[in-house]
Amino acid sequence: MKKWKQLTGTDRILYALSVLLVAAILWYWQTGTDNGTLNKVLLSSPENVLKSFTQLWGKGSLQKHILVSFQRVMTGFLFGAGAGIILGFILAAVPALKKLLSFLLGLIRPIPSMALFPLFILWFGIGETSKIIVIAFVSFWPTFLNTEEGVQQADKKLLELATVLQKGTVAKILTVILPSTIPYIFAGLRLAISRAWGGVVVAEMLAASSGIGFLIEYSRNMSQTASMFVGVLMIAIIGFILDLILKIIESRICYWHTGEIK
Amino acid sequence: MNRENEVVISHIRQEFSIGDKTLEVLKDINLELQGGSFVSVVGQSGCGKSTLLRIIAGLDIPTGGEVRIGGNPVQSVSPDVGILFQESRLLPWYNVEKNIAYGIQEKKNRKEIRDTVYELIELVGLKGFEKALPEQLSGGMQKRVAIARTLAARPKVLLLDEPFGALDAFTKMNMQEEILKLWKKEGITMMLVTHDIDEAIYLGEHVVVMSPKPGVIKRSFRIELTSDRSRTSAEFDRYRKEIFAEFFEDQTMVPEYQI
Repeated sequence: MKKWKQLTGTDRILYALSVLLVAAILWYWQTGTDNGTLNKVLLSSPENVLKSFTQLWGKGSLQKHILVSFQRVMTGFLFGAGAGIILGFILAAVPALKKLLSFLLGLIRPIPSMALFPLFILWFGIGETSKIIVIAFVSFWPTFLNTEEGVQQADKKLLELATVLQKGTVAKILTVILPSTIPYIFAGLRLAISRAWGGVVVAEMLAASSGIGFLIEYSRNMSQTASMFVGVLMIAIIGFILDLILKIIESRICYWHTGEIK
Repeated sequence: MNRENEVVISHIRQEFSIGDKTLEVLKDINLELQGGSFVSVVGQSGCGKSTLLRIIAGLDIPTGGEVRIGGNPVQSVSPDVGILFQESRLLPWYNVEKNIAYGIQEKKNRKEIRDTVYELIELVGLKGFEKALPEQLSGGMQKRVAIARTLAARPKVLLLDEPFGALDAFTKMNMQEEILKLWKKEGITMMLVTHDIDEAIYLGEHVVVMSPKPGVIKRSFRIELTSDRSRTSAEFDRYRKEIFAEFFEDQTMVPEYQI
C-alpha cells in the first residue's frame, strides 16, 4: 500500500474527491429528506440514523449485536479459509486427487450458501453451529481456488533454478512456492471475508435472535428505517476496516511486491 | 591442464517426439572442453544449442551418448556445474545477500556464509547493495547478483545460456568484460551459448558453429587474438567474416552491410 506522501498530485486529488463523493451523498440525503424530495419513511435521514445509532449504542445492544456477528464471522472464516488454504495446497500438489475430486467439487461449488442453510439448520440446529458452517462454506471457496491457482502459478524458471542449486522438495516449497502463493492467498482471503459478512447477515435474518442481520430484520418488522440503516452502515464500516487490515498485513508480508520475475 | 573440470561430450543424440513424429534435435555431438577453457557455441535459434547445454547441466537426459565432467558421467544436476540463465532468476522476496547465499551448496555456519557472501559481493562490485531487493536493481546489477549466486556454489564448470541477451549494449559489454576477468581468475571451465557472433569471438578461445535440423556441429574455430581482444581489430574482423560465411553459405546470402 502506498503512503499518502508517495502519491502523485492527481492521485491525492482523486482520493480526496472519493471522500467528498461520500460526503455529497450524505448531504443530498439529509437535505432531500428535510425538504421532502426524498421519502423520509423509506430512507430515514442521516440525522435520524445518527440518533438511532447513539440510542442503540447507549443501550449497549449495538455493541452486543456487532460482537455476536463478529464472532460468528471470525470462527467460520478461520475454519473455512483454513480448510481452503490446506486443500488448495494438497490438490495443487497431487494432480490425481484434483482430477478425482473435480466433478464433486464442481457440483458443490455453484450451490448458493443460502440454499444449504435450511439443511444446515435441520442437521445442526438453529444455534451457532449452523451459522458458523454456512460462513465457513462461503469463506472456503475463494481461499481454496486462489491458493490452488497460486501454487500452480509459481514460476517454473525459479523452480528450475532451485533444482540446479540442488534444493530438495521442502526447500523448494519454502523458498519458491510458498512466497509466490502468498499474494494469491491474500486475494482469496479478502474475497472470503467480505462474503463471510454477507453470509452471516443473511443467516441471522433467517434464524437468529442476535447479530447485525437480526437487528436489520427486527427493525424492518418494527418499521424503524433508521436502525435498519445503522445495521447496514455497521456492516459497511466493519467490512471496510477488515479489508484494510488484510491489505496492511499483506503489504507487510509481501514486501517485495512484484508480479514479474526478472 | 586440469582434468578435474574438463568436459567430454561424446555422441550426444537427442530426440523429441511430437505426436507420432520423432524430431531429431541433436545428432552425434562430440566436443571436448579442456579444463579451464572457454568455448562459445553459436547457432540460430532452434539449432539445439540450448538443449545441449541443458544436457550438460543434467537438466535433460539425452536419448543417446554421454557427457563426462572430470571423468564422471552426468546423470542429474550436480553442484559442480553452474548455469547462468538468460533471465537473472532472482528470488524477488530475497535481498541481494540472501539471493547470493541461496547458491551456497556446502554446509556452512552463519559466519562462513556471511564471509562467502561478502567476498562475492566484493567480487561482483555490489558493495552497498547488500540489503537491496531485486526490483530495486538495474538489469545489469541483477545479472551481477545472479553471477555471484552461481559462483557461490563453487562450480567447476559454468554454462552460460545467452546470459546477456536481455541487456542493453553497454551493460552487455561491461558484463562480458567481467566474465572474462572471472574466468581468468577462477579457472572455471566455461561454455557460452549465444547467437551473438561478436560475443562468441570476444569471449571464446574456441567458437563452435552449430547448424539446425538436426542440430550438428558444423565447424569449430580456434580464436587467437592478441591479449587486448579489440573488437575493432583486423583479426577480429577476419574471424567475424569467416563465421558469418558459415551461416549464410547455404542461402548464398552475403550480409555485406554487416561487415
